Amino acid sequence: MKFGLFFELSVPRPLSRHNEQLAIFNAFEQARLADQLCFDHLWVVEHHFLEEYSHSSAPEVVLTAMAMQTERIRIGHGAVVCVPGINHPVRIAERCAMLDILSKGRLEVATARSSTWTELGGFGGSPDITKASWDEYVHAIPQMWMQDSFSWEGVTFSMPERNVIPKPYQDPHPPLWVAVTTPGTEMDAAERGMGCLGVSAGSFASQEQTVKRYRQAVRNCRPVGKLINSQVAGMNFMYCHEDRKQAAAVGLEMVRNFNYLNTHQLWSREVYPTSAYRTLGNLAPGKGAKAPDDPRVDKGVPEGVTIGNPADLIAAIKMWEGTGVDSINFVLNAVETIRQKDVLESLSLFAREVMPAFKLPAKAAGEAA
Amino acid sequence: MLCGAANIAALSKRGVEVEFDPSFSIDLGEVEWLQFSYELPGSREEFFPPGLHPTTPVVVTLQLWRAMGSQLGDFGVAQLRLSCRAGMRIRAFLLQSVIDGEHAAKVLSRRYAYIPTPGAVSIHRRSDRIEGQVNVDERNVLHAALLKPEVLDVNGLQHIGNMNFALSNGTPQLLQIEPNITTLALHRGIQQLIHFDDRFWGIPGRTLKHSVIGASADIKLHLPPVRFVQDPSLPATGGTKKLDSH
Repeated sequence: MKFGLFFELSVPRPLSRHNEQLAIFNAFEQARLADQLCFDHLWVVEHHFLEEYSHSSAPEVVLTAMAMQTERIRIGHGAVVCVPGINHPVRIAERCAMLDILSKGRLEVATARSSTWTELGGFGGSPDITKASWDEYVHAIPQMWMQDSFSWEGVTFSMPERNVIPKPYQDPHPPLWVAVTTPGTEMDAAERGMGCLGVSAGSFASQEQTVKRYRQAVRNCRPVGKLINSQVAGMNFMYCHEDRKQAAAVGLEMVRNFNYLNTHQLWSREVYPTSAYRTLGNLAPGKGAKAPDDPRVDKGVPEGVTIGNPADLIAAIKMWEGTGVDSINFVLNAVETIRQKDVLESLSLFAREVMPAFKLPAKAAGEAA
Repeated sequence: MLCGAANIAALSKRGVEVEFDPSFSIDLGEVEWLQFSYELPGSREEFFPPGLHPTTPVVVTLQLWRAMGSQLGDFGVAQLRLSCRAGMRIRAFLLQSVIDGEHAAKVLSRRYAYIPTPGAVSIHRRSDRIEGQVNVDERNVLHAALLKPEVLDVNGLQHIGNMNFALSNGTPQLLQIEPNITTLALHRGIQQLIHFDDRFWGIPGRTLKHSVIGASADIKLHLPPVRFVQDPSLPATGGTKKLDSH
């Protein structure tokens, strides 16, 4: 089992430059510590205009800086938006290759298509074509990395022959992933030989089904690049404290804040009739799912959330392990609900008490890698 | 979290007095449905009571209904709504409505807190467009068109329930309106706003220029009893009350 961090860079109101900078620099401190503690991955999201929820609009810059401040942890786009108007595929290929070089081959590239009107509308994007553009991008980008002369004639972009440079550090190219928010998207990943990067916390049962479907389908994949990435990563919240009550009091407040803000996104499907999006957003069904229309129901805490004392977390992660996921990426904070000092202590406690139940000791792990 | 900042006393001046009847529901039958949507420019908090959260951006929906042979007879409704959240729920806050039909106005306002401004609401299907018009006191307050409508899968339409501001024995309330809707046909197209009276609809000085999309549909519409009301000064999580349904 591998462990990673998932950074949204959420910023509490009142929105101020100070609060923004604090959230960003706190994330950097967490990334440096995670590197020392032998966490495996850090992922940085890409979102635009999503006040409070995510101020991570330039992940390539954040990831570059994090790569320069860390030694061994793998760094990931979690995920880069494959929509014309937001990112041209050549720019994605160029930036990722350079970042892979600068990080000496530590880059992972997850891809996504954006689901909010806030983002798509802001860039003049059409919700109708995001699936098509994502599909073209994930087929084209690996070819840009591998070919000395690349050209493309597609529906959402075309270009004459050019050599897209530089080429990535990893040969043939960095591992590719798909951000999976809703059931069914894992099949898009599997069919293309791409990893399944869960970005919403679901139930054990739904995760197990997702992994099962994915594992079956990936066997017969037609990879978009030269490398098949058959890893499945789940997402969870994490707050670890020796005192279970204290962990719940602090950690669940973070979960509630995250989920509350998540539901406040203006989903494309909400305002733009389209067949291209079947669901509104990415909030997992929680305890309130039995009474979805009752506004009093707080449906914020999904089952299996990794909040508690070390023994609680080991038990929860064993359950996740049983679903077949290869790794779990943790959200450590939301709108700075948890004090930075407590976030860092939680990370350290996790590494000291929980990680050894799932991983080789740090030195041996390093040697094995 | 971003919260509304409208003065509840000011909202109450135009609040509709409602009578709750937990057993009251009404079948409105087949309804012609036409919607135009635009982003609201400028600040947004002042339009919402503190208990609601404006979205970013706020999207204005101008929604027209024409019902034939319903339990309320033939009638029309036009409403302006603003996208928001009540707690974690996706909602639209009603700012203004026009009801074309005396009986419908009486029922929809008394039971569901639609604002019963009398007027004429029309939907005209032409060869290349669907036009919607609303006139109040023989003055046009809305004229818009859906151009070159294209057929879309009926599952492409997400219906969003209202939060309607009301007074119950003088006490301000937000009614959670949860229509049961079956979409029978759906079209989507470019929208053209020919005339829009921003002052009448409650957003004075705001020019609707950033278009989202226009749509028309044939729907089956049923309004069930109101089940939840919210104190407009409090967030939904703490300020919501379930109405008895015996």
